[in-house]
This record gives sequence, structure tokens and C-alpha cells, in this order.
Amino acid sequence: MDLEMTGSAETTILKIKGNWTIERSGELKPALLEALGKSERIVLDLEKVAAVDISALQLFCSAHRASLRLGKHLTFLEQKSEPLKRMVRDAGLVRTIGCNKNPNRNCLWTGDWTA
Amino acid sequence: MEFQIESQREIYRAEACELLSELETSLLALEEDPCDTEVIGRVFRALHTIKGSGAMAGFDDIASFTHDIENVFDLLRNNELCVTKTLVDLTLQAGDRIRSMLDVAEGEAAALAASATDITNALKQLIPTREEPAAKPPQTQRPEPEQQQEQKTFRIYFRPNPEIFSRGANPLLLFDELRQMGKCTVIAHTEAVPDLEELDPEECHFSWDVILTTNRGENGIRDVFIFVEDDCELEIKALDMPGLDENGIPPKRLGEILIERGLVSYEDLQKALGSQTRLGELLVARGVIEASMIESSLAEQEHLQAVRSKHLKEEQASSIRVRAEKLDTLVNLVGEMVTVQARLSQTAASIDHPELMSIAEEVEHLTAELRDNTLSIRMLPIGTTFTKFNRLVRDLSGELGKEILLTTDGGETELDKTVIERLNDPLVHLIRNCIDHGIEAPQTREAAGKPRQGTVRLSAMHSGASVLIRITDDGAGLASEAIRSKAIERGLISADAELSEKEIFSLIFAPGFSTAAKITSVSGRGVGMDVVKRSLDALRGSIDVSSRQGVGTTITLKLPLTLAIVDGLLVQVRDGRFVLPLSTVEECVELTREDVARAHGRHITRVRGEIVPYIRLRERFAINGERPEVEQIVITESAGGKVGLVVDKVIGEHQTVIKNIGKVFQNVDELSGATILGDGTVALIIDVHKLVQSVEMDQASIH
Amino acid sequence: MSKTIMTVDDSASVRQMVTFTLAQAGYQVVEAKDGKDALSKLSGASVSMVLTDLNMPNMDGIQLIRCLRANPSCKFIPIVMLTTESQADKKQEGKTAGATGWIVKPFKPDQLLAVVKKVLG
Repeated sequence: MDLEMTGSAETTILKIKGNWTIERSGELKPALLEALGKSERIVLDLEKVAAVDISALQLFCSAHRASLRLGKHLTFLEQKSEPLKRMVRDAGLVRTIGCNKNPNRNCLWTGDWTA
Repeated sequence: MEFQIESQREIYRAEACELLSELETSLLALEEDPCDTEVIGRVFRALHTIKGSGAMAGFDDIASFTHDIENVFDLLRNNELCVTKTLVDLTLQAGDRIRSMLDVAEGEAAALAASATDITNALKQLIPTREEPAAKPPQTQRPEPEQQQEQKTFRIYFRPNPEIFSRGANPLLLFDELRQMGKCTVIAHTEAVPDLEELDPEECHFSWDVILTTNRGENGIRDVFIFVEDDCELEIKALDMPGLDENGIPPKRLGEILIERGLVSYEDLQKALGSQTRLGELLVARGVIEASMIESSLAEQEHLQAVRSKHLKEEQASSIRVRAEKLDTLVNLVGEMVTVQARLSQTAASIDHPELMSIAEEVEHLTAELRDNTLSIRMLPIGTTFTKFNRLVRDLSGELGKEILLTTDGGETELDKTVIERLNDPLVHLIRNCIDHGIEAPQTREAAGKPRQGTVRLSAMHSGASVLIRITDDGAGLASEAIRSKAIERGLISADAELSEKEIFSLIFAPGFSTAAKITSVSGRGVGMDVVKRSLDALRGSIDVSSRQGVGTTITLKLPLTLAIVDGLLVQVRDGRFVLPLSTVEECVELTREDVARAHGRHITRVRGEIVPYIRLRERFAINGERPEVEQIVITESAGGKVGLVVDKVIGEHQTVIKNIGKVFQNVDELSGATILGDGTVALIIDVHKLVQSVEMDQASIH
Repeated sequence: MSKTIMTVDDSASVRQMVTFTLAQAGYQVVEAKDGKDALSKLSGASVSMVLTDLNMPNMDGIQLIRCLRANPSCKFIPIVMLTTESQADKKQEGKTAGATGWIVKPFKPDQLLAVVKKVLG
């Protein structure tokens, strides 16, 4: 399937593949909630994502926010698909400074999003 | 495509015929039961489709004619009008008219439509009191012509209705459209996104800042948002363009943008600036502001700078580029011309030929104008050079942790191109020095009761045939004691030398002099000021320093407007003639034998109570022969004060085209060139400043 | 893969013009002559966008838009209504029902394509 959850007690890896646009946002949210409940570290593997839109990016952002509240650590896997990178750039999410809700000042959107 | 259009007209004809028969049936039914809203609706729909499809198939006459009838039925539908027999009759007639319009060729249809006004007029009379809305021509989708406007930068704030997704709209497509309009930076604001538990994944909680530089204007941008405009927060603000004038007003800094946007208060900014990390990171770290706001403000800054440099380029594009050598040749030719003209005038005067004299006068007039115009071609406003220094100041102050504001004044002042080009390096040196040695660290300034931010003022102004460029800072000022002891240490002066403050300041221009406590990457390597001095000498300019400890320093550069031609004063010693640059000449007075006797052998005289030393050119240049009874003193003003130059005779003002003198004279500092006089003889041009200096040095070595 | 657009209009000449224009631009087109026809043709087919007239017999455009938005597979697709300038209130009604945008009749082929590109990308 397009959603795959693996990992240990410390780290959960949520592998997200295929198309994740608004029509499926209702599916993505519970998956993210579940991953957040599982362990301290959550890694979103978006290497095989084909299409995402703003709704998916918003869900990631929101999940990250929830992880901060829970004192957990949610990150993207370093390898990201090109469509995802492009969408992040087009949506204007790329940050050089992380958001001020994060004490470490590194949010999901800092880092390298260039093609 | 032609076939396509014709086939579409065919389809429309068939469709309209069908609709017309339906219209007839409905109208007859309506006569039976005038209140049947269902039938009224059918009539309206038929008319509506005839109109709409007609316009699309190219039957504009039918469309506009049907429009009027449709209006009447719109009123019926809304119960503002009642069905009458007249109305039904008229509408039936109208139907027939449409049918005939369908059958004829285009041109004739227009004639038919024109004759159809009887029906429309009669129909209009049925409409009671209401004002007839001016029959608008059917509007096309985007009436606004694509106007090419000036490139402008806009800040667009867009916060869609959270339900935007369930209206089938995608904000990203809007951004794509904006990207096609010009340079575009999109920054999403994420702070309104709720925590995952509360987030309705089908809603949109992002909002965006888009910084767009485009020539389509605000209306062009609004067009992009046309479908969502009523249903979102949309602010489009044209950003004013700083730094477009040649005075070089600096582009907005991040802090200014943030304050202007009301994102950060001045106090917050000042607090953040207290430390020396980058402003943006600092404000975010303090939780004063969201990171996205910083990104957005930075994008704005970048856009404005880009537009600015583009404007500068366009300014350059509006002129023709000519090789500098061509201009040099032109200036030289004009120089020759001036010389010949002088000879002409002289000859005309000597043979006393009135007609020739009037021609000579005219030529003189034209030559002067030609000279001024030619020289003005080479003149450029110094503002462009000034503008470059904004970046320098910004970068250096960042590097050194100082807060410095650069203000400029008189950027429109024009100078010879060559002078401007050669002035760049000296100015860089001077400004670097200002920032490194002059302006203190913010803490030091505060402790001294000065504003944290130091100011460097760069100004240019005309002063006679010269331009004065001043670099003024409100920094620590020059420490004359430190300069003095350093100069002694370096062996530049003897330990017991008695020097005025001005003389001490001028020591900073001595080769190998530097007082900076430590060598920074900015300055302090001891090269610089002597180089500056040399560059200015080469430009026949001078440099002057004034400073007050704790208050600041002003460095004044005095430069000739142009290098090619000077206005001079022609003087004579025996049969040798010399030119003194008029800019250095103050006045001419007589020197009698009695005056000389009164001075008891010292070379001084009194000019209105003031004692002025003089140099006798006859002695200086070892010219033999008797001095005349009454000599002339030309009083000149140079860096060291007033000095008189004694000559036999003052001939008068002379427009001097500077010629280089041969290699033989290369080591003669006192002469800056030569010029050819009207009678073909040569006069030497005296560099008054150098002359005075060398005399002083000779005297010092004698003592 | 070319996208499929449905055009809904009771006027054959308008449908013909829309179909021709969109097909030329590389889209697949499905035609429907009113709201009811549209809904029946939609079940089964997947369309990326709907262009609909407002004034139609059987089921008008407004009703069609409401139905489409209630259908999960059409909830987020762009729906563009064809209006005339005299229908300002209709346009508002359509927007409230969930229309993405509108195009004012009469329109030229490139205006139609511009609007399709605007909402469909």
C-alpha cells in the first residue's frame, strides 16, 4: 500500500508513497496521528512520493507542530522525491530560519530543497 | 479554422430556429395564461440562449437585439411587469426579425438590426418608470488591455478562505500565474496551522506573502485572483522604490522593512541589534516574529535591489556608448580649435579690421559653446559612484559589528568621467578608514553619549572650477597626539618638531603611516592614505583634513571639473609666459620697490593688513634681466594658505588647453603642462601647490 | 495522460464550440446537455473539471454544482460556470454553491482556454 509504518520502540518510520493530494488528506491525517503516538522519534520517508499538494504539506507542518507539543522529534528522511521538493519550493515553505515554536530553531522546512 | 467558424454558424442557425419555434409556442401559451411563471421562464431561457450562443457564433447583431427583449422578460420573471397582448405581439415580431437576420449575410443583418429599433423602442415603452440601463455592448472576458507598465515591486498578502479546496481552487495555480508575470517569490506563513488533532485536513490554514516584480500593475495582479477575490483576504501593496535616484538613497534594510510592515517595534529592533548576530535570526530567536515574516521581508529587500539595479541599467541603456578615445580625440580637437580661435582674435585685433573682428568674435562665442558642450559630454554625475558605497558600508559595518548609516548629498554634481573613474579607489580607501578608524563600536558610542548608529556623510558640490567632495563622519576624530608620536616613531618628523594641528593631520598621508592599534581586514595595513594622496595629486586635486577629537572628521577632496582645459591667468616674466590656474588665484596686487625695501630682504608683503609671503618666479626659474619698476603679485590660495607669486606683468585670463610637456620636463613638479598661445608661442602651466611646496622644502633644507 | 473536461450546456452550438476548442488544446471532452445528463454521465467516468451553463432545463447549473460538491469524487475538482453579465445574482449563487470560477458569455476560444488553464493548471 501507499502507507507503510515500520520501526522500533524509539523510532517509527512512516513511508508515504504515491499520490497524496486533497482527496486523500482524510487518510493521511490518521496515519500521521498514529505514527506520532508510537514512539519518540518519527521519520517521514517521502522518497517515493509522487504527487503532493498544499493539503499534504499542511498536514506535515501540523504533525510537526504536534510533535513539538508532545516533546517528540519528527523529521523528514533526507532523501526526498523531486515532486515533493518542487512542491515545497512552489508553495513558498522553504525556510532559512526555523519557526519560533521550535526551541532548536530547525523546522521541517529548513535545509536543502533545491532540485 | 474558417471551416470551423462556418460550421459553427450553421449549428447555431439550426439551434436558433429550434429555439424560435419554441419561443413562438411559449408565447402563444403565455397569451392563454399570462401568469404561468414556468412558461415565462421558458421564454426567457430561449431568448437567453439565442443571445448567448449568437454572440459566440459571431451573430453579434442578433445578440444585441435579443438582449433588449431578454431584459423585458427578466422584468416579467421578477414580477416587475405584466404580460400584455402588445408585449406578446412585439415579441413575436421580434422572433420573426431574428429569423430573417439568421438567413441573410452578415452585412445585411446589420441593416436589419438597425431597422429593428422600432420593435425595441416599442418594447422599451412597455417598461414603466425604470431608467433604461445604457445598452452595454456584450462584455468580453477581460476588457482590460494588456498594458505595459513600469516594472514595480508588489507585496501581495493572500489568505484564502479555509474552504478554498472544496471550491476546486488551488492556490499553487495562482502562484504559477504570478510567476509568469515577473520575478516572483512566494513565502508561506504556517503559524495559523492548527495542531494535528484539531486540523481539518480539507481546510487550508496557510497564508502567503508573494513579492512580485512585474510590469502588469495592480490590476494585472488582481486579475489573477479574480475567482477568489471576494472570498479571501487579499492585500496588494506597491512598494516604493528606494535608491532610484542618483543620490543613492540606500535600499531598505531588513530592519526598516520590518518596522514599516509593523511586524517589529523599533524598541525590539534596537534590542536585537544590541548583539551582533544576524538580525533576522535574532528576532526569531527572541520570539518577536515568525520566521516566515523574515523570509518575506528578505525577499522584498532582494526584489527591490534587483529592480533598482535594473533601473540603473535601463538608465544606461538610454544613452549611446562611445569609446572613451573618441571623446578624447574630440576634446583634443576642440582644444586645438580654441587655440586657433585665440590666434584669430589676436590677428583680427592687430590688423584692426572691423569686419574680421566681428567674425572673430562670433567664432570666439561659438568656440566657447563648443568647448563647454564637448566637455559636458564627458561629465557624469558622481551619484552612481556614491551609490556603490552603500554596499561597501553595509558589508564593512556588518563585518566590524558597527552600525553605520551612509548618507549622500549632491549626487547630481558632475565631474569628468576620467576623474570619477580614478576617484573610486581613493574614495573606497577613505570610507574604509572612516568606518574602521573613525566610527566607534556601538557600545563605545553609547558610553560617549552619541547615538549607537554612526553616520558617514558623503557629499559633493561645485566650488568654482572645482568640485569638493567631503567625507564626514561623526566618529572619534583624529588623535593628534597619537599621530604625532607615531610619526616620530616612524621617523617621519623629529621629536622636537613643532607642528600645527593641520600639519599633524597631514602626516596621515605620509607613506607607511598607520595608527590603527591592530591590523584589521578592513584597513590598517598602512597603505591607503598615501595612495589616496598620490591619486589625488595625479588628478590635480588636493586633500584636506579637519577633525575634532570625539566629534568627528571631515576629509575634503578638491578636484578640477575636467582634466583637459583650465581657465588660467596668463602672466609674463621678461619674455617668458606662464599660466596660473584661475581656480587658485585670489587677486592681483602691485609690488613696488618701496614695498620690497620695507620688507628688509624678506619675501613678504602686506595685503590689506595681512602678511603674505611671496615667491619671485624670476628667481625661482632663474630668468635673467632687470625687474620692472612695479612688479605684480598674484595672490594664490593653496593648502598652506596665501602665497604671492611675483611676475613682471599680468596679461589676463586665458582659456588654457593643457598639453603634455615633453619628457625633459617630466621631473619638474612645478609645471603641470604647457599650452599654446594665440601667437603660436608656448606658455608653461604652473602647478601653484607644488611650486609652493618645493620652495618650502628648499628653504627647510637651507635652515 | 490528457485530462477530461465535461461541458454542460443546453445549447448545441456552445457545446460544439467548447468541445472543439478544448479538443484542439489536447483535452478529452465529455458533453452533457443539462444537469441531469451530466450527473448520469459522471457516474463511472472520472473528469478533472466541469464547465457548466447556468440556465438549463431539467436541472440547472446551480443545482448541478451543489450535487457535484456533495459527491466525494468531485468535491475538489474545478467547476467553471458560463454566465452572462446580466446574471450577477446567479453568479453569486453559483459561487456559494461551490463554483470555482466563471466565464462570461460570449467568450472567445482563447478566453476559454485561459480560464481552463487558470483553474486546472
